[in-house]
Amino acid sequence: MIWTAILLLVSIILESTLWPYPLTLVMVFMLISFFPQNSLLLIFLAGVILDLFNLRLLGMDSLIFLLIYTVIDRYSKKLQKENILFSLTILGTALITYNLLFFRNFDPVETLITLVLSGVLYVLIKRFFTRERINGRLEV
Amino acid sequence: MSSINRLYFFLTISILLIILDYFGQINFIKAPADNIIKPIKKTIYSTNLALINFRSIILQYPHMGNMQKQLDEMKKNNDELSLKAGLLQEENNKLRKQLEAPLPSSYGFIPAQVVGVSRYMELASGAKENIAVGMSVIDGSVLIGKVISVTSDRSLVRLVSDPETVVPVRTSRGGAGVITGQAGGGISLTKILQKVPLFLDDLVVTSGEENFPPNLLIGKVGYIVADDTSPYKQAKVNAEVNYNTLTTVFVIIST
Repeated sequence: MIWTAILLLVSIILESTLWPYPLTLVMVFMLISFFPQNSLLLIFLAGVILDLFNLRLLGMDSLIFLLIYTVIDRYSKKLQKENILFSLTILGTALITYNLLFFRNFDPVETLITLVLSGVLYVLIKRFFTRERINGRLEV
Repeated sequence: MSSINRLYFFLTISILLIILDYFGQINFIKAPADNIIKPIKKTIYSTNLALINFRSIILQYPHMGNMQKQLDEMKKNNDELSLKAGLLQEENNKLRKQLEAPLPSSYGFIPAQVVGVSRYMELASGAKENIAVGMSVIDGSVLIGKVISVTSDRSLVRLVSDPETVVPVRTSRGGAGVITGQAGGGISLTKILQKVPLFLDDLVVTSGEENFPPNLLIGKVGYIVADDTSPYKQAKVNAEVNYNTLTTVFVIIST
């Protein structure tokens, strides 16, 4: 959890200082996808800190991150959560909405590259860091 | 507390924070946070600038031999030039007073250090230095943008290249138009009447409307979109400065 928090903080600093790109959103998405338990506080704090760094209305990013959490949580019970296409569809929608809302920018190539990289990251995290890997068995 | 209750709890707090911040009720949280955030951003931004310079040095490595010869010649020239420099400095000071006069003398300038350039440029100066929303930001006589948000120690500048920016301008041939930012950081010049002459490398400066000071340079026309059926001409403008490498800018206050 500490490493996750550090990664989130790094992405917040990079996003708010150097790159006009929703790096934190991607990190939060991975957090929600793989470690939903006890991640709510971290997601909320990440949003508040991102708002402080970007001088946005405090709570705005938290609200968006929590809404993404709600969507994933709600639909993961109805759809196949393990299907990477489901996750990337939600991430793609979130990225486009977030980019248009905060950066007034929609670059299809950039979004596609992010989705491909996120897909790779998704597979890597699933392969090496999730519980099913650690325990060596699938959860039922 | 169950997961769903916690979710509703945090959602409620988020909405509450938005409402309170909208009415300026939680500035007491933001002000101390600025003192932590500002040095972090300053360090990251200056490190990034140093890395950009380092990368250009590495790319120049194959030409080091030639560069050494050039350096020796330049050292010789430097001695000669330093003699002339003293005389020119005095002359320069007199000329500067005249040349730096595109802005009214009633304008004052607040120097501000740049601590980050993401979508917006962030400055390490805020309300304490009398910076307010709506003030124009310049580098020399080049328009950088407009202040859109201020806390006690920090301010955000919407760059000329931002998609939400609209600046009334005129060209060096007298044509009036409007520039807007484009997604990806470009600048677009529009609303130029077809009958008005427009050529490559024409200078684009502010017209003085919409609270922007007049005669501030924005850039040069880099590409003209030819479409005779449209009532207006369109062009792309090459910005005069690279917004990502600035370290200090000036905020204009009219006194």
